[in-house]
Amino acid sequence: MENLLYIVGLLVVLFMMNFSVVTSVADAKKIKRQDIVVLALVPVYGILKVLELEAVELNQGLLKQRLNAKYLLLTALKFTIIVFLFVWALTNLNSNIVLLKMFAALVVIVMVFINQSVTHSIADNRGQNTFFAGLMGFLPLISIGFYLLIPSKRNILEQTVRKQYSVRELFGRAVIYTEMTVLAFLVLVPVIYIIGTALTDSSEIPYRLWPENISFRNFEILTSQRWLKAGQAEPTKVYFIEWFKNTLLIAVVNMIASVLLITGSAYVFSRFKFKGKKFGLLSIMILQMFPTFLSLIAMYILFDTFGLLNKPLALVMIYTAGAIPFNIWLIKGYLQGVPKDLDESATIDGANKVQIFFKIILPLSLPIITFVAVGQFMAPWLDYILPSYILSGTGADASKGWTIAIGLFRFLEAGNSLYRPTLFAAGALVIAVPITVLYVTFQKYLIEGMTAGATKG
Amino acid sequence: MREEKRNNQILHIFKAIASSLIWGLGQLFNKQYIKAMMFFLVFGLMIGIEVSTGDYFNDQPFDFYETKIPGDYLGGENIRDKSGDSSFSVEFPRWLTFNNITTNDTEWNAFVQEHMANGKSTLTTDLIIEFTSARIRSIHEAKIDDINDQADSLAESQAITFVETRATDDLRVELQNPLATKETNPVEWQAIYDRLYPSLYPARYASRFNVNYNQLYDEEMLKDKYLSGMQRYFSDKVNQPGSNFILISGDDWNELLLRIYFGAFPEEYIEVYEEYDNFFYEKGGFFVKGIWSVITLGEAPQSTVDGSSRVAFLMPNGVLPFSYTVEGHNSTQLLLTGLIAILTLIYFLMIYVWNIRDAYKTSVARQKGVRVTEKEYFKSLYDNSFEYIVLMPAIVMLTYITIMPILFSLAIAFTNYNNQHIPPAQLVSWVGISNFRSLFSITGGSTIPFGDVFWKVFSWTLIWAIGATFTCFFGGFIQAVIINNKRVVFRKAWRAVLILPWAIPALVSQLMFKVIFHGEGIVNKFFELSGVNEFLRGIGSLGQPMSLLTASTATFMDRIVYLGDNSINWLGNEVNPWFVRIFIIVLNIWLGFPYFMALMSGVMTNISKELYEAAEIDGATPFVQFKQITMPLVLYQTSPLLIMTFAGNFNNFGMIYFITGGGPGGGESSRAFAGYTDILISWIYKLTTDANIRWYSMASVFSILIFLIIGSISAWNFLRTKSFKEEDMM
Repeated sequence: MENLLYIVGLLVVLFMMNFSVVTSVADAKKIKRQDIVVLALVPVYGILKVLELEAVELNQGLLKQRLNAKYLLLTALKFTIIVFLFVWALTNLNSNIVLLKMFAALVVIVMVFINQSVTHSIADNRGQNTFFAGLMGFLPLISIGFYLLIPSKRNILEQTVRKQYSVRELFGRAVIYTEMTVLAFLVLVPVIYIIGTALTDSSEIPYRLWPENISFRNFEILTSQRWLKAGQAEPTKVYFIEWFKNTLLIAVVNMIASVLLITGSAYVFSRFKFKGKKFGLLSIMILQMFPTFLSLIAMYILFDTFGLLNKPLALVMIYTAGAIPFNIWLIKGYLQGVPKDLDESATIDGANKVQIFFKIILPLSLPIITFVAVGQFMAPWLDYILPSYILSGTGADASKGWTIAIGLFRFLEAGNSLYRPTLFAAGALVIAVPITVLYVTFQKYLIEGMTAGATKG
Repeated sequence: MREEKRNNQILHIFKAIASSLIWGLGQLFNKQYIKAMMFFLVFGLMIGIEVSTGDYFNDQPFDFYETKIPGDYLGGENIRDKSGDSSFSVEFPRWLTFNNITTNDTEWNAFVQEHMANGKSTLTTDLIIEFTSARIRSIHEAKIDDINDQADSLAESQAITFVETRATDDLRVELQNPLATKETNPVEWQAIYDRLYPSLYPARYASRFNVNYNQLYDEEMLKDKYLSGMQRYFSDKVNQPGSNFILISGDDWNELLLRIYFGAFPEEYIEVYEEYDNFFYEKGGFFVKGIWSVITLGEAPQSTVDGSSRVAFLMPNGVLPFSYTVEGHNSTQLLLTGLIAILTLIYFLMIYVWNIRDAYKTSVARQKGVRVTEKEYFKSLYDNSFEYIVLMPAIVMLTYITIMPILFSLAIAFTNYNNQHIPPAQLVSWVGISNFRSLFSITGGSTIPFGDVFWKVFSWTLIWAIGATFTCFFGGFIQAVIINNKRVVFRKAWRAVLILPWAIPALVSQLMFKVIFHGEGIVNKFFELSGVNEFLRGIGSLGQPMSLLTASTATFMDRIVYLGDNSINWLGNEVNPWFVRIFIIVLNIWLGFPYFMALMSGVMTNISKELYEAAEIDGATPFVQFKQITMPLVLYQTSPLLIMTFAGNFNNFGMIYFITGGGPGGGESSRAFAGYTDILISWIYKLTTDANIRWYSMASVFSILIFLIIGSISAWNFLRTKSFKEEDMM
């Protein structure tokens, strides 16, 4: 079987040589590619025929260069190496040696990408639609041949196009795509692993990337909130939905409260002069530097004194207060970019400050407010430090008041009654998927926002 | 002319002083009545809060039982029957009259007879308490000396025997003669005895047996315990159908016993009383108590009142022996409320100062003939009030939820709040800068080497922060360059994939790594299957259990090369902790590079193409173009982020805590509870939240230090940025 493939490979090499020679001669004779399509594709006959053809304009130097024995030999070598490498990789995809298998897969994938890249470049050079070229690039060699033979829409020397698959170019593309493929692999493996683990029914850490039998048990446990462990009469309560509700509540209330509180304050700071403004700005800047961490103990005692422990809503106070310094600064900076003339003309028209705020400022600052709102919405989902300390009540139903972050962490705490790594994966997926989708969709926006916060202070 | 001026000056100052005494008074003299009223109202508010939260007008002395002991006083009016008409103190003499208790206790009988008038008993609870206490006291005084003497002599003889036995044992060991005794070698024995005596005797003597009070009193007194009869009667009464009487709780009876006990031993009562009779705590109002709280952090510790062994015999049935935890001062709660009070006070003070200055200024203006009408004043105030009103909620929240905790943490750093001083059981007190000093001295205040370990953790935190920042920064940069290469097809698709680590919530990926790099996780399984483990075994990296390679047996080679036992121990390698450290930095690249990649990629696409075209015309190769155009522009534009990322990584709690848990190591006091990968913030978290550790004071110290470091870096960075400089022009 293997040998068959190598023979096929040899044939492919010969085919490629034919193609190469025919196109070289055609180029030298300035014959358009689309005229010699058949000749390029038919071995031996093609070469003979093309040599007979009359030249439109003969480039003797090019002809000599391309029909040079040394050149032909090197080209043949190049093609042989490429094709045989590919065949070798294909045959080793089934290898028992894991590392070899992976390496072979890498070679195949990278070569396909190189093909895609070359096709894309050729299409680009020749003025064709690069999107389709990229798609077609998944067909090895065929795509290259196709884009080399169709009429060129740009007036470009074919020699230049040839450079796209010179050894140097191929090598460069190989390096780039190898790096990216390996990186993509490293990025995707944990992701696939999480999904696979979530679908595994096991109380241990799975060592397979993807389970043998897909099971939705973990999701069942989460949605029904009951977990019947082997050997136990009573199912353990897993208040996943409660956690979700708690966290959602905190997130929504936090978002609304923060936006209301902060936008108004930022408006005041950006637009008006009043006594104590400088002092206020300075203190906000200083406060921004304190990690919210410092307030752990004090908050605990404060809540204890007022009986607010184990009440998720109490957390909102801390989140909102903590968000004030940074976000006031952010929104203020943004508002400074909104021209004051608008305010002034509105004042002339008889609007008072409140009206200006709601009718002019608010709509214009929607982007930055959205950024703040999204940020404040996200914050409680992923925060572990604060809730784990404040919501650390004891008692059978204490876990009802947890947030998702705490619950997920407990799933991974060896020795905890809730320990179940696969359950963790399932829970993690539930919250990670929406957030990830959100982030990927709005990535440009979010990154700019984060950076603006940093560089503009 | 000058005199006039001076006179006027005095007038202005006079008004200012008037306002300083009673707010609004100066305004009154300035004929600004509305303003005067306003200030006066605020003043009234402040005084009102103070007085209403305090107990200043209560002349009665501190009632220890009322405030500190649960249960109601049987002699008071609180214990009533169901209709509310009658109380225990009324029922009680009635009961005595009707029941005519005779016991074998002649003294008691005589006492009851003494207090009969017109066939009705005139006894009250107070009298009974007095009577019983007196009896107990006299018995105690009569007998206790005897008992103590007996106990003393017994203890003494026991202690001496103990020392003698020890001396004999030691003698036998010294002379290596198992048969030696005091008689056979008197000189040597005596020498040993004399040597052992000072240390062994006092300790042994001190552990003498306790006096059996029951026995002490029971013999003499109260064969038929009249109090228990009383108790039985009243509890029976409750159970009778149609009875009107409420249940007297055990706490109420216990309080009675406690009063008897303290009545019998007034010297102990005075000690307790004085401890808790604290004017500021019991009577102080919000502000005064607050200031006192912050200065003293509470003065009365929690204590236990437990005299039951001495008086429980009075009511042997149905009364549980009592031991009350008398509530002391809760230091941390006091500190907290004290800080809140002080912050609020500061706001009042600001109004106070405003009030004084206004009186002065208006007076000056009036003299100059400038009529500042109140109307104008209030109008300008109203115009600006919009700002203040809008800012008010934010200010309030910031003050009490952000500033107060910061001050609290700051304060804690100067106290001894740790697991040996946990309120409310123990008091916390100020210790000045000794916590900070312990950072520099070798032993520190306690036996835990906080100072030593702090520097180690701090240097690792620096290394971590710098390493993580630069690897991600340049990793992202390289990746941005690669992905922006014109040879890359479907760039958006690649970017979407490569940005996943940033898009997935960090919490999730960090916890996931914990699972992935577990001992029997997927990575190790892969290594096993692919033969990597074989290889590692071959070079000696795997194969030995970690417990064998302790500090003493591990070689230098081991420390570098050891990776695990059956499989690589990624997160808990105690022999080779630097492996874990470097591993964490590398792992962080996965999480950190996408942000920089995306950012720099964006910056790169914004670089105008003309620059490149011009360079190409000038003959620059792609490499030169990269080096002279791309690199400088991108790096320059994104370098402000380096500082922010550094600060972020310095405090990157999740990366350390969720993945390695701070380990390897951690939890041992020899290393001040810090693991090898603990950074300052994860260490502080452990110190604060781990129920076994709870060294809040040191945690606060470290928090302050973190703030100082990061804060100054952030401040410096911020001062460099444009927006602050522009701010000055506002």
